[in-house]
Amino acid sequence: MTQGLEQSDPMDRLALVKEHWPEVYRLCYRLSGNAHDAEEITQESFLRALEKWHRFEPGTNLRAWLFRIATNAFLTIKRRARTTPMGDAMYEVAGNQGQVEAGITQGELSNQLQAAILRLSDTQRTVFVLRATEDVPFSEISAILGITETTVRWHMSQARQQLVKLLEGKL
Amino acid sequence: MQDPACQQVQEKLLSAESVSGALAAHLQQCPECAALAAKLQRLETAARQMPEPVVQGPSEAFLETVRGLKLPERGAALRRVAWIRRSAAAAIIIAVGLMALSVCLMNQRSARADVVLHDLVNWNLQIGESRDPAERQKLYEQQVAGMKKEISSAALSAAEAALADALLKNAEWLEKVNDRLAEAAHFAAIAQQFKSAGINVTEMDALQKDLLTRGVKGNLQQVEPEQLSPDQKQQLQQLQQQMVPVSPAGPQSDRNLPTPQVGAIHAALPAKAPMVGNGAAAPATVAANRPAANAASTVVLRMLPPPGANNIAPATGIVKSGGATSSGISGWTAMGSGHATASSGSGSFGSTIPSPVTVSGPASSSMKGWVGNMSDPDRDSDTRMPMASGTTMGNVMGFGIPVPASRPPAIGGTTPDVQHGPRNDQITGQMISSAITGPTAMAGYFIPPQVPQHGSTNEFSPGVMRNDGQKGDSSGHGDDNASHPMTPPPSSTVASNSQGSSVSSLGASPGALVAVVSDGGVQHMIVTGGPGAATDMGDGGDGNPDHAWHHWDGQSTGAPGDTNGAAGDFWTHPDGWHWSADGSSASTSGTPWHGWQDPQGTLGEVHHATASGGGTLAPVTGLGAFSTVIVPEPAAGMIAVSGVMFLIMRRRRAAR
Repeated sequence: MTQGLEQSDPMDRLALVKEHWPEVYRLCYRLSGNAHDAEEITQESFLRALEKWHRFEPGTNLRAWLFRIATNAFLTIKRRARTTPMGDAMYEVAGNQGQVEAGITQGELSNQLQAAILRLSDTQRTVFVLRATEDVPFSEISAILGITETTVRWHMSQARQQLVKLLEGKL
Repeated sequence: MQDPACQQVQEKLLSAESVSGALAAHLQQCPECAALAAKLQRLETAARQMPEPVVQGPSEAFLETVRGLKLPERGAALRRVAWIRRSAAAAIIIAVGLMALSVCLMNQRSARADVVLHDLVNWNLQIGESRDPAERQKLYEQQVAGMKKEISSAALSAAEAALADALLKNAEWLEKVNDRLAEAAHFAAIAQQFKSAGINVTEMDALQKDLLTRGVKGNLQQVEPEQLSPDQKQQLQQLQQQMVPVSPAGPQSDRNLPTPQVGAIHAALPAKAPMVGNGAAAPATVAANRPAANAASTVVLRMLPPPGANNIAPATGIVKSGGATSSGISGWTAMGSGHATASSGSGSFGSTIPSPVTVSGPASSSMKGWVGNMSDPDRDSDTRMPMASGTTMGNVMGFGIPVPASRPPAIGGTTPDVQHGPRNDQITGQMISSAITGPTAMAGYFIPPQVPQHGSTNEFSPGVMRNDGQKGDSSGHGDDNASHPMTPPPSSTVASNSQGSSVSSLGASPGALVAVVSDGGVQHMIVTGGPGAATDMGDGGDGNPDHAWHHWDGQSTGAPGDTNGAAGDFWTHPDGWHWSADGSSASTSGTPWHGWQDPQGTLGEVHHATASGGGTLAPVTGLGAFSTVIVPEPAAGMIAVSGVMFLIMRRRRAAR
């Protein structure tokens, strides 16, 4: 697919979008907290990716590259619009998923976690989401955000502290 | 004091790439650290198990855009062209490439600078928000090397570098001090630097806002003026005055708007300035009546609904929220919650209100009305209602602004201005977020007779309101409304509200309905007096006629209902804001029309019982407070902050 894209084949670019849309959308959704923004940021991300496709180095991590673009798009749009998370997608809990010790179901906990994540600062949220939900290593997060790995760790630490505090009694 | 070993372990746990069984030996013997590790494990688990969003895939429209997207060309084709053309093309490509490169570098630099500055601001604020010297030191030392590295590796412009340097120095300074006032001053200085940096304005604004709200306001709220030296008090005062406008923080802070501040504001107004008394003047009213001498004023309207009151019934759409939970809200009762977007509403208001919508869910808490910053000095241009994206304003409020149906306002995160009005001094009609119901009040008037509305008043005929000194001038000079008496509102003025109650009619009352409020099924009507009714409008219990905000007499000097000996007053009353002025805030029995009131949060008091003069009005038993103040600039920007501060100071004094 990537070879095809180098030739600017319209079909391949569509394939790229369709293939990677779900994971990019999911990341954007986690970051923005609502479907409307997620859609907008995802679209923006793919447009940016296609426009900069010639800069992508074949053989390197395409997902990471897309995540980087998506994250930057999120930060740009978020800071530009100062988006406030809304409740429209916040969040349909997918049923009970077992009981945790605190007496709150896993599903409820996850749902509350999502709300809590939205209260983190942009950078903390990005770091936490990339690491905790997308399993992106710190080294890649560092590259994605253009900050040092030490700073990434610090943001992660802050995010975890904040989340533990916000979910006090529920963890 | 925490065991250093525990501290180290916990730091490792918190910053680890993943929470694993490492450090097991320590965790086995330390319940505290083990508990943290367990919490983090659950956190990780919960994060992985967060429900998946419903992914619908790219839309066809977007795919079509993608199809048509022109991707950068590769150089292969160039080899097939003639040398000259190749040279020309190469030159173009080089030029374009250089341009693209420079653009790319600029973008990279911009993005990078954005992240660096964002990190620096957050770092400063985190240090500043910690009151524990040890924690401050830790926060500083943990990050200073990383921050310096980020700064040095980023290609910052001169202005950005100066900001970064200021933030770095401030962090270093913060580590060593613990002085709220001085810290507020430092943050204010940096915020000012951001403001004047002139780079990437939107993002800088956002960071500046963070600095102001968390760095300056957060510290100022903690300052105890009693303990300050005279110099420090002066500095505090200067800080308050210098602070750029900050949007009110929402219903809670609005509710805390203190009496002294309001008094000061009123006192600062020109004698003949049309004050809005206790509440319900629409900004249009105020602005339209503002004499030139008071042109620099800013009208701030705030709706103070009782806690949890977020009910709003829609009018025909103009502005609506983009959020699903509030998607039913429309009408140009602005509801800005960061997602407010201008819809393609008709801009008209039907005579009936569609099915009431109750806003609920998380979004309701962030539902914001808007605060008008009516700074249009000469009233000959659009009135702009700035609503910065994402700003927190008062809760849902709706009020009147003359909006020609043909020119609906736009409001929203990216289109923050509400524009309205014909380009002349006439208010030709209109309206208002007439449909606000529930315990929130609404003030809606200036509705032309042909547009009977929930909350409409019909009190002014089109063209009556002028501020040009001609007939209809309501600025307190001359023949205000002399030939335009209030006309009785139609009997079908009021529609049902979201609480299930309704006010069916005003009958033939000359009183103009200004607001209809419902609270738990009890409807409350706020009415104005009309000609001939003024004398009956009560004295509020203190012997002075026509208390509060209800006066639009159109009477000659000294005539019944005249509040201050001058003709043509409009919503003006010297004592305005006089809840409890007679020692009995709810003592309206027997003396109808006590006005409304109480921005202090004691909502639901009786404000109006009956009014005579031609009609029977439904009893008013309470309402969501509704404060309206006119604030001479630059006090407008400070009112939210200083309001809270005044209250804190007052309470502390009272406590002592």
